[in-house]
Amino acid sequence: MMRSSFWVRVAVRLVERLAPDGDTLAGDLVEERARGRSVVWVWWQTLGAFAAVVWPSAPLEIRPLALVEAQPDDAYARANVLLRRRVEIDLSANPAGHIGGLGITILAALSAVRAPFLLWFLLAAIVSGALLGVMRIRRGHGLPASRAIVPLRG
Amino acid sequence: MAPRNFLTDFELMIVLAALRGGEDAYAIQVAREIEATAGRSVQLGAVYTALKRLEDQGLVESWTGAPTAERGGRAKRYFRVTSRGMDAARSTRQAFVALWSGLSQLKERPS
Repeated sequence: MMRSSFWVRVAVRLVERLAPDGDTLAGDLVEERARGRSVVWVWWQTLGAFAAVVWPSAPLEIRPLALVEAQPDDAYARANVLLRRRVEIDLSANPAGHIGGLGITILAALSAVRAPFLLWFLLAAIVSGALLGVMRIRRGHGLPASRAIVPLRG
Repeated sequence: MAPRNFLTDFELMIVLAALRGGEDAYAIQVAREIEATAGRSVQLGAVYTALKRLEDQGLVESWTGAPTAERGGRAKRYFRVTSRGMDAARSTRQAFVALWSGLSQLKERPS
C-alpha cells in the first residue's frame, strides 16, 4: 500500500508545476500538512487550484452590490446582463463552486485505480451525468422576454 | 480594469482577514482567519485568485518573503491592504448598513 506521503508529494508537485502561484501554494500545502491537515484536504486544495486554472474568473460575477454601484441609466443594462448571464449547472450538489463535478470525477478515477470494479460505476455516472446535463441545458438556457428589466417611462 | 468602490462578500472577508493578520498576512493565515471567524471552509486557490484580483485593482499589495524549511524551502507571499483597499472596505460596509437599515424583517429575534 502506498503511503499517504506519496500522495501528498504528487499533489504538491502538480500544484508546483501547473497552478498559478504554484510555488507559493505548494509551500502552503506543505506547511498545512505539517500542521496536521489530512491528505484529503491537500487533494481538495489541489483540485481547487486546478479549477482556478480552468475557470480563472467568471466573465461577469454576481456581485451583491453591482447594481448599487451602477449609475441609474446603467443599472437597467447591468440588471439585464446579470439576468442573461451564462447559465451554470452544477450536477454534483457540491457546495464548492466550479470544482464539484470535476473533483468528484477525479477522486472516483483515483479510487478506481485502487479498486478496478469501481470503474464501471464511474463510467455509468459519467454517461448518465452527461445525458442529464444535456437535457437540463436544452431546457434551461435563455431568458424569457417577460423577465427582462426595462426602465419605466413617464 | 476600471476602479471599483465595492467589494464582493468574499473579497470583503479576505480584506478583513488580511487586516486582522497584521502587516505580514499570507494566504493560509487569511484562510484560517475566515474559517475561524466565519465558519466557512476556504479554498486556498480561491484566496489567491481573489488576492490577485484585489492586487490588480490596487486594493492590496504583495511581496515575497524568504524561503523557510517548514515549507520545504519555498517562500511565503505576504499581502498588505492598501489605503484604497481600506476605503473600499469602508464603502462596502456603509452600503450594506444603508441597505440593512429600516428592514423590520431582519431585526434580531429574541432568543
